[in-house]
Amino acid sequence: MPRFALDRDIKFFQSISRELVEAVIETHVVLYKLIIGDSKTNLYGESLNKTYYQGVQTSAVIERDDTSVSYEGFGPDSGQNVEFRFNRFKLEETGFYPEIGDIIYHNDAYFEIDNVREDQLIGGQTGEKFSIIVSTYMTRRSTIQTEERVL
Amino acid sequence: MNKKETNRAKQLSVEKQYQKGVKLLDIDTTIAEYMVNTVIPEVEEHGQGVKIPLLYGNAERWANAREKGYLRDQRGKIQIPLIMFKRNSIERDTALAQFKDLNTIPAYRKYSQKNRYERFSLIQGSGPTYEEYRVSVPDYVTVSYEVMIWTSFTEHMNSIVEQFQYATDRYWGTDDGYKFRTRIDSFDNQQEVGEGSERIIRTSFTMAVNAYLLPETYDESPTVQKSFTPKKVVFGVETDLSGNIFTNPNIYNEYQNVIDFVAIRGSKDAVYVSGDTAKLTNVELPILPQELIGTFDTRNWFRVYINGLFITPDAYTYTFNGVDNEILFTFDLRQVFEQGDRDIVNTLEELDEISITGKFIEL
Repeated sequence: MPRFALDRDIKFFQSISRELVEAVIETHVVLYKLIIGDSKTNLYGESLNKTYYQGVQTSAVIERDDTSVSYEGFGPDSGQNVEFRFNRFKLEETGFYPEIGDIIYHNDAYFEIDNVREDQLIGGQTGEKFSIIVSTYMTRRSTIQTEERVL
Repeated sequence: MNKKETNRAKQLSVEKQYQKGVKLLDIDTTIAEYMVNTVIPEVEEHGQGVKIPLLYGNAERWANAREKGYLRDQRGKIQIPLIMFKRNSIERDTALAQFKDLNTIPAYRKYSQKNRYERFSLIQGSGPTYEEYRVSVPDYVTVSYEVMIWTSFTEHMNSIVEQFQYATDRYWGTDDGYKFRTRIDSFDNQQEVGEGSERIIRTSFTMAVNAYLLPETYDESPTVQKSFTPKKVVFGVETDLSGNIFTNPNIYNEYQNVIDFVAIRGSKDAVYVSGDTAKLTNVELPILPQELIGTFDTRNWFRVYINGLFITPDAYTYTFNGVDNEILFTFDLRQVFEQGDRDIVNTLEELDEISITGKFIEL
């Protein structure tokens, strides 16, 4: 046990972290877990019919880039990169561990996770991770098929 | 919008197993399976053979990270050796251009449910029918693939490259599936060693695959059409009855006289001669061919109508005058007028309409 990161210190850190995310900032997102077993892939590693578990609501600290627009002949195409920071203990309670390919619903848009980081360690202790930080990009609803398409 | 014209006689259902086109997925799968099963060798790591995984490039993120998660360690670092391939381009093979909508490649299936055992077909002399499947000519294309190999050691890379080199200019595929000729021209070898990065041996090359593409349907019509071959072919005699285009009239062979006679049919109004006679002028009476004697009904050589009333052959006789080209009809007036159902005078009159059809030639 290190001298300056005792159990009491770590618990204090965890509770502050949790309070900050759940009670102070209190921004809610919905997490959708991809069901790999039901999402059959073809040769190209694509699934035309993805299936997700029912959404789970939780709180997160959100860091948004500005919405960007690109023009590639199809007219304006919006995009946004968002970083969601979750409290690890809260996610443990909800039974959700975010992975690449899962979807987060926030601010009327769906964001697909393309990177998951657990690099923040309390006191540098490898067993004392307190955050899960995921990088996401705004995905097309036509790709994830969570809603009926309107044409 | 006009309704499309269809000929339902040609709308034969094609069984599902014969409707298969050749799709890009088929080509990619054939190439991938041949690489996995035939080309890619096992490499030795710590005395154990390791089969090198093959991936298609740039799969969906989740598929790479989670479905193929066994290729990565707990922290997500990819474990090598690995081979990745992806399709870069499709180029039309102009040397094999075809009129696609006109040319078809026929294939036959000798068994057909239409062929039932029956003695009737033996009597008729008819043979079994074949099911014919006319497959539209596909589009011949050259598909270009990029292949990238990652290994940790040059010795591993050598064994992989040697196998690919030996596999070039071969037909990649399976005996009961598709086969496509594949060519590899050169290999680009790189050894990457840099500060802060891992040493990697990388080889990349492109493959040119001669392939073909055929959709299952185009414009709502299947590219495979089905038909049945005839059970019996009957050769008959064809004649051109208009006459003079043949320089040699014997083209009719031995039935020439019969055919000529059967084709004769004259129709003309007779000219009033007297109270019981009328004549056809400027006509010729043909001779009954020898072959038709006894079978042709000479009683009905002519059909005579007086004022629209059919006169039976018993009510007249005729003679042919070959000098003046006339046929003189003499009527038995008693019989003629017995057939009438109207009040009629006892003799023919000049205004009576006497129409005659039958075997005479109008000159």
